[in-house]
Amino acid sequence: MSHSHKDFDAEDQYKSGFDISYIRRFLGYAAPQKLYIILALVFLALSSATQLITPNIYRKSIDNYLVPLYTFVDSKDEAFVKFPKLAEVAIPAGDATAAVPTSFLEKNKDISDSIKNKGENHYIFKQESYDGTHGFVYGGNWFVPDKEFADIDPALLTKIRGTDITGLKRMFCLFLLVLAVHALADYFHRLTLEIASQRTMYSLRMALFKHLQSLSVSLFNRTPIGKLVTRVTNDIEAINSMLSTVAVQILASAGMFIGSLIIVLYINWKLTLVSLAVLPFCVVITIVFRLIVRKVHRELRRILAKINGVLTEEFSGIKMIQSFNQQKRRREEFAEVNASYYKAGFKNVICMGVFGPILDLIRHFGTALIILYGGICVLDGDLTLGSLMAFITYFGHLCNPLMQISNQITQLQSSLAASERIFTLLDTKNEVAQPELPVIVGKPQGEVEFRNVDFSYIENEQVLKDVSFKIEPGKSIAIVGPTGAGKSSLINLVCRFYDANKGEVLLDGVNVKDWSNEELRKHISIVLQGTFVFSRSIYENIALGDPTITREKAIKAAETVCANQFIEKLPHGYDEVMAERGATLSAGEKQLLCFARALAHDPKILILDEATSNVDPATEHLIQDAIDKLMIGRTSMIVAHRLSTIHKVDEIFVLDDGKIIERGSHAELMAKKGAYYDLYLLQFSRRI
Amino acid sequence: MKILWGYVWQYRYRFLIGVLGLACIDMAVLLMPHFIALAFDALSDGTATRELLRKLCLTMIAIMTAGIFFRFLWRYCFSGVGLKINRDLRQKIFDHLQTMPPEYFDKHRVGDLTAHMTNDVQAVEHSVAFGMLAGADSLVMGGMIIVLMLQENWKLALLVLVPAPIIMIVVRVIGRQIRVLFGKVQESFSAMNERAQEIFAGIMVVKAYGDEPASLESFGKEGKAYVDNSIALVRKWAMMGPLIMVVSNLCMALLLWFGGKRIIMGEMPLGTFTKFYMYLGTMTWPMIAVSEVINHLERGCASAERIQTIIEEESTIKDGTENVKGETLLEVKDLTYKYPGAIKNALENITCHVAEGETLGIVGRTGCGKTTLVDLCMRLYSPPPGTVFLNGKDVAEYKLDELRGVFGYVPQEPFLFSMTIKDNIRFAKPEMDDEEVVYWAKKAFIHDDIMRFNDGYDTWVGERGVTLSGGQKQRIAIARALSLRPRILVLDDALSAVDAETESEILKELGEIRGKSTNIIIAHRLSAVKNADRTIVLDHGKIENIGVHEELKVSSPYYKELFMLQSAVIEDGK
Repeated sequence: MSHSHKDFDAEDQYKSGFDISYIRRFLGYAAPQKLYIILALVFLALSSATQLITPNIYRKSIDNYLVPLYTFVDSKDEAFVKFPKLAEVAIPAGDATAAVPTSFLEKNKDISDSIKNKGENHYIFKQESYDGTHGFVYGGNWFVPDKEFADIDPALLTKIRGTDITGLKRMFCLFLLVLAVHALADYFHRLTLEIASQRTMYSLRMALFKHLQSLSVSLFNRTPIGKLVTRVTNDIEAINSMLSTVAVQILASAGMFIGSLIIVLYINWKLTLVSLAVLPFCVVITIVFRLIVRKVHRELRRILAKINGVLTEEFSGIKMIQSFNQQKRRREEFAEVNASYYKAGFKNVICMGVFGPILDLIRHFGTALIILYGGICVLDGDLTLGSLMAFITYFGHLCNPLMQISNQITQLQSSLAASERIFTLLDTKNEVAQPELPVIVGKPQGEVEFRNVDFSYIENEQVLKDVSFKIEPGKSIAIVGPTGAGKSSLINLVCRFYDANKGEVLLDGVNVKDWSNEELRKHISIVLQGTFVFSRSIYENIALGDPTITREKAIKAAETVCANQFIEKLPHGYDEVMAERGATLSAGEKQLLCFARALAHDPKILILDEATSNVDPATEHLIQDAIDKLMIGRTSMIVAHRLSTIHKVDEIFVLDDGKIIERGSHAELMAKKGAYYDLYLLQFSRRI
Repeated sequence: MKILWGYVWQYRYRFLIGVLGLACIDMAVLLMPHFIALAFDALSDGTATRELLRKLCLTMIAIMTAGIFFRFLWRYCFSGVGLKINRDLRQKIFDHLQTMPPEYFDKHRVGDLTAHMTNDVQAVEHSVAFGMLAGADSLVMGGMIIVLMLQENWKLALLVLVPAPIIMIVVRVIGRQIRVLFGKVQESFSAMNERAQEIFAGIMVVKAYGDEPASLESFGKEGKAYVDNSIALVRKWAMMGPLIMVVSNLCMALLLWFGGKRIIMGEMPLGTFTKFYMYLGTMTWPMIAVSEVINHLERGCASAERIQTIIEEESTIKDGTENVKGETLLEVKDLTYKYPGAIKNALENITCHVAEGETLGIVGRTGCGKTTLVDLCMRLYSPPPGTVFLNGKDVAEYKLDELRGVFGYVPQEPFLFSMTIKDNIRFAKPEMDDEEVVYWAKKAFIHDDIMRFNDGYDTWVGERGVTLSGGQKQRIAIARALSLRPRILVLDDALSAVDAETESEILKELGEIRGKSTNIIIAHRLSAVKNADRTIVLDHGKIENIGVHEELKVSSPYYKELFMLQSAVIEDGK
């Protein structure tokens, strides 16, 4: 396979230094399916073999039972000496003439040297059957020339050709048998192969999913979610063809090709060489065509993706488009993309339209060559008619696999590309790796400390600069400040969604890096601005991740945050299964559900990240009490920009440009008349 | 089928040329067995000479070479028609959907519509390009072969062709089952997709609550279902190939037996046998194709029908004829509105108005109908006749683009298009120059944020570019609406994600640049509606109260509560 094509899209690309070890690793996942794979291979061999046999049955039938069986040959005397068998089966018809079975001639091609020339074909029967009008009798045998044969009385024919009819019947039965075996083998080959590859895909998919889940949040923020989803779905699907192409189909095609080749070589090697002369053209054209078509297809795919993007946006933003009267412009823009798809489609049509016919022509060319040269061979007595007929069929068997192989190589390339994407992802190291020996803390007190923490998401764009603070267990703090000041980053570090670049984040005096992630997060409950409701039941959403949370506990939590009001109105109450992303709930209801979730987990540390911004003020008022209750006995960190929500906290941190510029209680900060005071006045003095 | 044919009719000449090309090429293909049979006959009765063979061979090559042109012509015509139909249909659906009201898109999921536009349109294309192509091919080819075989030896032809219809039945019956199973496989695949999507999108929550094992399990369940469905599909699908093979070879077997016997009995020359052998080989494809074609056409018809239903569904919002004239006066009179298919009224007996230069405030709990009210005013949804009036005329009488041109709308959840920030700001007025874009961005207090991006105004929004915060999106949407200098500006809770400092700045700026223009402001924070000429308090779709700030503070329980809440802290602090 070529490693030199570099004109791939990123999606289709596999680097020129493709690592063959990916295949080995993939086969590692396939190994448990050994039995099925072996079965598939056995069935495959059986079905290929049976397919190869069928033309041969035809050939045997024609040569042995259908065509005239004997040919008169003029032979030199020494031929009879050299080939005593010739004399045995021949009926001497003159000094140096013999009626030789055609099948015998075919099997002993070297006899042809000793034969001067070939005469007319005859059927030979026992003298007793002689009907007195057709042919002649000689040496106890009745010779019927080919041409007179049809005139013989049918009743007599049935009698005298009994053996041929029986033979033909045998062949007919054999044909049916082979056919049945072939069909069954083919079916089970496909079935076992699919089972093997489906199961392999499943285990690879689960492994990848599990790995992805363990990776740090930053990967999910960096990479469009759709891409990650594609890895575990479509890419795995693509890699699957590795098993079905590499392991099986290429083998099958190769087997078919080689099998046919051996047979045709055996039938007549010269004719084989002549007919094979067209194959290189087939191969070259196929390869060239693949390259072109792949480019065209890639373009088609790209444009189709673009069309889909435009459509999705159009329909999601329809309100905007209509309210701003932009339909016409959007229509024209769409027409442009649509036209480009049409153009690319036409390129494809032309490719297919040129390639298909040319390939067909080459094949027909080959057939014509076989007729010409094979016919000459038949004339020369080097080949029987049945063989010529079988040859044409086998020629098809030679051409097809070649084309299939080139097809499969394209497929293989895309599955190699997929395998590279998948295994690269599998090899991605977790940026917030679990410690090898996590510190066992027992039940934490909930003390949070930052020591000289620097942090950035992207290099050189520092978000937190030398931040230090300590929150005593059970105390609550609020973090305020303008957008982009780094408020959410503080929280990301506490939960260890990210690691600090410098400095330490400690929980109960232990660096969060020394905690096991599970243990650490078990003690933290978080409610985010973007609520997240999973498509499971309400109860499962509340008890998320912790099977020990009973229904009672979940209901109690829901009641505390007043979520019970809307939940009880749902047709199935707590068992109501949510639509994707809780689409049937309002933003406020989703938020309440998330509060219930946080409460039900009874955390040591409670984190609210702009958690009340989606709740309207009246509802907010309702849950404010709940939040107050929730904070009792827990270390709480609240990020807010509505200052009204935070006046009860023990301490307020004012964050600006990655630094804590002020901290203290509400009263202290107000008295100080600093940044907080300004912010506060701004928000409230103008408000009412 | 009629619909499908209607599509093709437009391009009938092309189509016809295709069929002609096809007939030519099929004839050429069928001449091959004829010449091969000639060779075989000559070889078996001993009349063959090298000269004859050479001639036959050359004739075959000549015919096939000529055929190449027709073959190209034929493919080009059919596929071309398919592509053209594809293009036309897609555009037609697009144009149609664009005129549908947002209500339609609430009812239909965007993903489904997009799927229609790709899958159904493609199915129609295939049914034309492949279905009709292969259909014509197999009919012409199959028909010719059958005629030739009958002509050659009708008794043998009938005997040999007995199993042929079985192929069609097999392909039809199993094909249908396969389609059902395939549908299931696709369903489970997209379920798996959605599951992964959901879990990855919520990864922070998953991790924070240690839900990894349960998430893995729920994904695994979908994965397992997919495996099971796929294997169920293969159980059926894997039958197809072998069965077709068996049936087509059965014809060959019958030929071997019946044909062979005839040869043995001297009733038939070997050449006929050879011809039949070749014809049967060529027949396999048309036999498979006929049933495939039926499947394709069926699918195409179903898709065409679906497309037709989409296209024929008329918009509930009809265009009017009037232009907007005169001083702005928006009146709502006793408006009661129920969303189609809903049980409860979204709005009940709403009466209010806003005149030139006035500001109307709307407050109320989430889901009380605030957005519905403004949507109805803009006729994004259709208000009942005689309820919403602009400048004295029912809004239904206006041309839609005229009516909507009056409003500058900033929705609650701002929608930005995946284009540059600049293009998003001038979305409604593409002719706006850079200077003007910057001007309005400054007015909406988003300029500084934009300048902080590496590409400034040319920063791409969305997956390919930056992820904007809610507040940034809202401010861009405000800049977009402001730049239109609309007669009525509609802010639908458009500052909820902007921090308080910026909010007050924007409100101040609005007061200045909007001067005596008309505004409708929906808000949760009273600061935004404090200075409104009139504020309505909505509760469960009804007007609870209407008045100015000072009045509502006293008379409206909800407003009062809000006021207490939002001013409480100030008193604390003082």
